[in-house]
Amino acid sequence: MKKSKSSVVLGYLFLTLLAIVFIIPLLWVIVASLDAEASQVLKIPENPTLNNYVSVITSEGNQQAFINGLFLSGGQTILVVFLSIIASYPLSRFTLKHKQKFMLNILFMTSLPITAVMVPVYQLFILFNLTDSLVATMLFLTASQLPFGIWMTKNFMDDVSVDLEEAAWIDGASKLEGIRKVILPLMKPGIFTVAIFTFIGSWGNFFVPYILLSSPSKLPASVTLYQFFGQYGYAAYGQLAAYSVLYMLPTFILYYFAQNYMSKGFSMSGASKG
Amino acid sequence: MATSETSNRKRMFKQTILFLLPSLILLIVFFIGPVILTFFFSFTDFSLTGTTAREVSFVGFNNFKNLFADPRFFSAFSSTMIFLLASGIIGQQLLGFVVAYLMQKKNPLFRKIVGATIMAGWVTPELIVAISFVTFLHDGGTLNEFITQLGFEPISWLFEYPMTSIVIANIWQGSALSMLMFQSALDAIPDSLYEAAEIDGASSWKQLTNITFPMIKSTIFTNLVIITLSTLGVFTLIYTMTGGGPSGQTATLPVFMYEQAFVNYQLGYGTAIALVILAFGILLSILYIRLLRVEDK
Amino acid sequence: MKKRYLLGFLVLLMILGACGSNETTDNPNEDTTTNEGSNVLQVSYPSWWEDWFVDLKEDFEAQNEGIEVELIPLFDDTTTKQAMMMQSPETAPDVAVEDTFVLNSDVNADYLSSMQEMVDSWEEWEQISDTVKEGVTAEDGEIYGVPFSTDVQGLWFNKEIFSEAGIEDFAPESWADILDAARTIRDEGSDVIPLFIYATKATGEATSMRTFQTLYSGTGSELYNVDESKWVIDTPALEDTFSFIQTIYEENLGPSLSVASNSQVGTQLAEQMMPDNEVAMVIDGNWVTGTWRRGDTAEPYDNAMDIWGFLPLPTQEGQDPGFTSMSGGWAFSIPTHAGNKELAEEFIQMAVDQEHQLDYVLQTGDMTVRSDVAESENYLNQEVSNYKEADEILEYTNFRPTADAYATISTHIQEVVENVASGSYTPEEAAQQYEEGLIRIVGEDNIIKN
Repeated sequence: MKKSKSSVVLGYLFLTLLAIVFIIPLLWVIVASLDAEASQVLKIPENPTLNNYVSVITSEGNQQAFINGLFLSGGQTILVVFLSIIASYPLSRFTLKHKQKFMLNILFMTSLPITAVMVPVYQLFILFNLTDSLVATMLFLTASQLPFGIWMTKNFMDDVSVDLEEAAWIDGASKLEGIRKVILPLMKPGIFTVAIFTFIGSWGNFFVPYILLSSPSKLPASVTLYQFFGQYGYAAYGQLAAYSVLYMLPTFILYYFAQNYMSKGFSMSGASKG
Repeated sequence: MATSETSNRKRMFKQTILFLLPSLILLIVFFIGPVILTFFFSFTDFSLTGTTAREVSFVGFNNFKNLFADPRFFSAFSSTMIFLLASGIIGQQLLGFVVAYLMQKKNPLFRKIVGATIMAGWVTPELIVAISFVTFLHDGGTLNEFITQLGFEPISWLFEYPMTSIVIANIWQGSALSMLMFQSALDAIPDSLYEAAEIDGASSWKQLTNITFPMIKSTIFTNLVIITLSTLGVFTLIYTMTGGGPSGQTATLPVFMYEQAFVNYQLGYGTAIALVILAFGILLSILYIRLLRVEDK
Repeated sequence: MKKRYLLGFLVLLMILGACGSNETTDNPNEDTTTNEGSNVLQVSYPSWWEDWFVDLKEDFEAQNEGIEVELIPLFDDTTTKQAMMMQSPETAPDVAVEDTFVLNSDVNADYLSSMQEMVDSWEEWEQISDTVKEGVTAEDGEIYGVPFSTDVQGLWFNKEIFSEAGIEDFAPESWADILDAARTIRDEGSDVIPLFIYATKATGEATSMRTFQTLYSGTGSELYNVDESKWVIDTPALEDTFSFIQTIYEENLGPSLSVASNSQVGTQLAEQMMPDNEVAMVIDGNWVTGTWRRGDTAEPYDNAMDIWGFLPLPTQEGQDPGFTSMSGGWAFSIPTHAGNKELAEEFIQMAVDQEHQLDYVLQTGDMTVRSDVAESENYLNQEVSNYKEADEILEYTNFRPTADAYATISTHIQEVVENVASGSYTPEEAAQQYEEGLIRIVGEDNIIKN
């Protein structure tokens, strides 16, 4: 792969430009959040301040919204990861009839956009008296991400060799212990990949909780931020930006810790198999 | 021997059910149930308010007849296709590949920095992507400030180029994923292949078409499936940025469905649209799987 | 085999039941859903009335010891969210705020309970003017809401900008007069928006009522024929109305689409664009003064009424009765699934008593629904007020159809108007599109064509 010097330089140039283009939209959010007189335009703050953050953080409603959001997205992520692992085990390890068909169906289910089923879901929630329930909303979110979770986890698990597991069985470990002690440690990259996928998708979704929840005290940060944007989005830019930065934090922190696992997750052929 | 095998089979089946049960219950209640209900509602005149909210009656294929005679449906369908092709299939896939390809053999620190900026789009929650792009593209936003300083007239991007705006935002958000997948696929190609080609005197372009593409074919297909399905369902981004407007230019099928069901109160009509979205998603998946199988053979 | 399915279904129900009941035990303090006589009263309302409802909550809690009012502000598509909430006892508020256009539909959907008995035994009911009572009477003849707000639409014009443009004694007698004035102002060459009208889906019901229906009523036609219970298609009237809207946008007399597509543009108009003289004429409600009186503007705007005039909107060609207007209205209702109806009635009676009604109109700038308030000095002589002008317009006013399909048709109108404003449809195409939509929504049998 020897390349001429000019093409190498061009490559660097293109990537640098791209990086700049990619960072500009986010830059505004960060800079404006520190500006006492923030406007829509990206500019260096004349009066740098943390007041925007203070006013967002000290609001009890916002604190509650963050806790609700963490409950919904965190709970969903843990459940999706846990259920996907259990469900993937037989799909990956056993020789089953119709397995191929089952996996195809799982793949089809990933193709159903949740937006499309919200009308019947809401009717279902009314029927079973689940409206305005955080737990039920979390379970629905879990179900909506499960097909994708199972599909990915199964592929990751396929890549973990059976030999080690069999060695553990010989030492007297049960199947569940085998999963916990042998498969899980080897699958860490895959698990993190599924987790971060689930969390990011859920954290940014305001539509599902907006439909299924109604008490202000139960709404997650995504909904309150959307409402804030709708109502004050063209006036209180500084606060909007500060709120946005705080709202982005959980996904960025999660990604920061997961990134090494994640790149491994992607080099395991797991994610890239059909 | 035969009996022990069948009992083994049975045990395996039992265990499988046990392992799958929690997931299956959740999927049946919250996923398959609603899909069946969608099917059911789409043949009714169910509405959010008025007499038909209380007394729901079957109207046969009326919703579908109206839908296929509704010009807004065709405009929503073509918007969806444009959005899917431009932002998903071409935009994210191509940009992801180009970045992954160019990043090969670059300075590690440089790779890290560039990679991080592109990943930022993916890590940013959808709602914030929308908010950042709205402020960036708004009449008095950063982009217009920039081009006026260059001496151009400011442009109402979100109104004059609404589709381009949401396509760019979606590319910004989704390219990182393609980049990651292509990076790992490219890393898996053994250097020896390129070295052999080098000796044969093959140009970079020849190497790309003869070695790289064939080696990452399956990644391209998987990527295609994932991107197609996730792009088809994009709602938050579009709804927050343009609300489907102006004049329905960016009303993709999910936005159109939302409007009919939750703004126009016509739940039956809305679910008929939902059913079309579902059918479309399944159709595309089948198509891709077929293609993938052909490739495997 | 069947047994197994049945069993599976039972397990399902149990799980669902478990998460349903979990929730009630999880939050003993919050869950107050259906206990009659509970001490929490849930009140849902559009978020723009936050201040007034906080006041109401404080006053009601002070009057009723041990009672807590839980406020549920609604954002964006408030009528949608409220309808969804009213479907279930779990989420139905005890007091709902109804836009009167959807009240009859909500009654037909069985979301609201009759308040006939309450108003029969409530002596203050007679204080409420008869015209607004029409808006809360359902097809069955019973009362389903207590009105607390109404308004009229008129033509706001900026006297400073007009005199700069050399237009003296502005008193338009037809749509053409308005357009001529707008053209004169446009030709001055400044950045001033000659005539603001709501014209996009983002501004929702305002586009349908304040712009389209106010204008349409000036053609002398009607959208809905009450006697025959049928929707009307009057193509010439529709085309004329759409032409007016098209002219405004085609000739650059209106705001840019990006300004008009901001769902908060109404607030922006009152708080910033009108005080900053950025707009010369606005077709809007009388209540804009409320913003100025409250001091929601960047600078105090006490002299607003020296600068802004509020005129009745002329009919299309000045035909009888010469002027026209539309009135909206809001009412307090009690959902069928409300858990605390008695307390809800007490709350509503307090919220619409003389003191709180005066407080409401002073805060918001809406018109009062009570005759004793309408006559009071406080009401008529407040600072920055246009109640006298608004009162005169009241005699020309019209109301929206209360038929079942109105809510859906209204959003259809918004779509068509936006398509005209953005240049996607000519007036003829728009009238055609309106007709097609109407057929889709109510069916050909429920339409008469003039």
